[in-house]
Amino acid sequence: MAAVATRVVEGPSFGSRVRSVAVRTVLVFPALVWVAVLVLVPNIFLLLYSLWQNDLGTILHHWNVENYRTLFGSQVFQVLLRRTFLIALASAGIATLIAYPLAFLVVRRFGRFKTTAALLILVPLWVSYLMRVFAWRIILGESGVLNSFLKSIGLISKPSSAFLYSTTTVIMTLTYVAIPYVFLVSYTALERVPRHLYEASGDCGASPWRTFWSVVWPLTRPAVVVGFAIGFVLAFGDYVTPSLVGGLSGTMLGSIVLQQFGTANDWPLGAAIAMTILATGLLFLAVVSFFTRLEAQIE
Amino acid sequence: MNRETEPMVDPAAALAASPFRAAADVEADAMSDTHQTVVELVSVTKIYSDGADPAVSDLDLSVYEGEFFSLLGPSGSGKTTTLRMIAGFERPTVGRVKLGGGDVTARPPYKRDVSTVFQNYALFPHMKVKDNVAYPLKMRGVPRKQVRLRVNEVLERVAMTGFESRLPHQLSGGQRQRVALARALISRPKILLLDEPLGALDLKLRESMLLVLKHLQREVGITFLYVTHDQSEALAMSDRLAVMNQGRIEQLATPTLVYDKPATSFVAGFIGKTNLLECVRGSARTARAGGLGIQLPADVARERFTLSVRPEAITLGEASRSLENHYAATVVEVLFLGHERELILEVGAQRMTARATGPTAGVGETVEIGWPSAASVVVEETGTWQQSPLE
Repeated sequence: MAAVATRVVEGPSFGSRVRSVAVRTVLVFPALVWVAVLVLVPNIFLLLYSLWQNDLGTILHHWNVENYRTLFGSQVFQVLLRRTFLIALASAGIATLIAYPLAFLVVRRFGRFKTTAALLILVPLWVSYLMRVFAWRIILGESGVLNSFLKSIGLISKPSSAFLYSTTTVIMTLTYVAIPYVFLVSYTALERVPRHLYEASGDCGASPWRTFWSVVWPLTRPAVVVGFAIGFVLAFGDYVTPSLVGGLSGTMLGSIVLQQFGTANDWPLGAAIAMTILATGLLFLAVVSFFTRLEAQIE
Repeated sequence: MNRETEPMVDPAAALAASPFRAAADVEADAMSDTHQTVVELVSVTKIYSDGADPAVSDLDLSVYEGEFFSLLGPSGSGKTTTLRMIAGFERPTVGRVKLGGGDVTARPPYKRDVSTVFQNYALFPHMKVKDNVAYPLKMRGVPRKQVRLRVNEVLERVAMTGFESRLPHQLSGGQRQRVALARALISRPKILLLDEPLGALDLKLRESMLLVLKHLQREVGITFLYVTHDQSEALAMSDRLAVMNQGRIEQLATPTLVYDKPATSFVAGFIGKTNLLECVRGSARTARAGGLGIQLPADVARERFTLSVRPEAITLGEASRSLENHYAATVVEVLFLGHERELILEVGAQRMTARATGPTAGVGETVEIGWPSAASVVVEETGTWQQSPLE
């Protein structure tokens, strides 16, 4: 190791500090514009719409909270809000329960094939979201794969429609959709736990099980929570899955938003529902973010 | 096992009895009488993937209770693999690993009574210093009150009191090193394995940590098995050391014996500097190397062999006239190293290195050089160690 000569560097002068701040601002500017135009402005519009009034398809620009009052006074809305929340919670939860152990398995047991295995698990992401959901219709539908299989082994005599159009179907499909995302996040986190920590833990007398719970889990939990949150957000605002495989008992809030903006042509009410979804989601993420704190730094 | 009191072996007699490794063997036998073996490797071979060269091949090794034992070798010599097999992180492809007499070959690391200090410390990044250190005791179900006492005790031992609530990333390299040491010592293992523990520290810190380690070992009396590529570390610390090359042990002996009587050309070149002369046997106790007539320390049976002469064994100037090997040499280069000068000489057709403490002849001038035959060692030819200029 060669000794490197160092010299004391004086703090930057006031002038150069101003310059560096200016340079940074210029550099960050395009990103700020991007966020403002594509994220901030649309949501502000959404908020504004939710505070306006629909009058037979035209919008009255007079401020009120009537839309929200209608929503929270409605039994249907409350049922849907609760259902949507529970469906999102369940599918993100199940997806995490499947994807995290799967990622652990791939990282720890697949050796040099782990990248290949990870890519294979992520392949569904290359296919259009609509196609992925539609695939479940093909599997679960009346003339679908599952029905013809059950018929061929003689378990049922005529095709059943029970598999499709239910809350369970929606949860199943959304779980399937969320798995690659949770996997990706878990995989990256587990990859970062160096092998020597497993070894050190074993060396200290910890069984693999205890090593997992006292070393691996605390170090990867924040990432898993992020993965879970992604799954939750994906499911919470979704309208494609419920409309394709949900039927009546699988309807979620997203479908209602679509309805209000589309057929019902009541943008203010739609915007109010959308805002409610957004607020609930953010609230939930705020709670969840408590579990993403980690002081540790993995080298 | 003080180095000053180590048994004297007549090198000439030992060499005559068996040309190589004899001195080391004699001493190893003497040690096994008085010491209990705590680590034993029995013809261990490790091959990582099919068709690859073995990382360790047919290795036999015994480490005795309470000694400071080093595995020394360049990278890729199999020393770390050997340590990892003792710790249980790797399983030998062939052979047995025994700890304290019991066969542990198939036992996972967490069921072995050894502790490891890792090269990169391997502290748990999310645990405070005290939790890192307490971890081995918690895993063994030691009562909490006792854990706290022992954590304090061991942190005091490594001079880390006051850092209990820091996280690893808030510590310097040397501090992390000491926490890692504390964590490894707290369960009072039979054997402490140290894998290049000072590798990531800078020179000054390394020197002070060397002393810390040496003191610690003497105080706690635990067997230390120390893996390093740094020959000066190994020489300074060890009671015995094994020099490894390409998965085999080239020599196993005390530091003085390894230095003074290297068994092979590799050992001679890896431990310190040496001049290796390729000799052709002459009449009794003489040989020729590159046009020089050389007096040997003992008779050699083989026709061709290699002779090792340490630079510091070479005497310069008139004082060399009385020595058995005496030649005129031309100075090719003089390197000033501070405490001494290194001279590169041309002796006949040979290039040799010598050392001088004071001013010497300049480049191009002629000097008289010589060495007593007893200061040279016939070594087994196993190739030489060439340090790459980048290392």
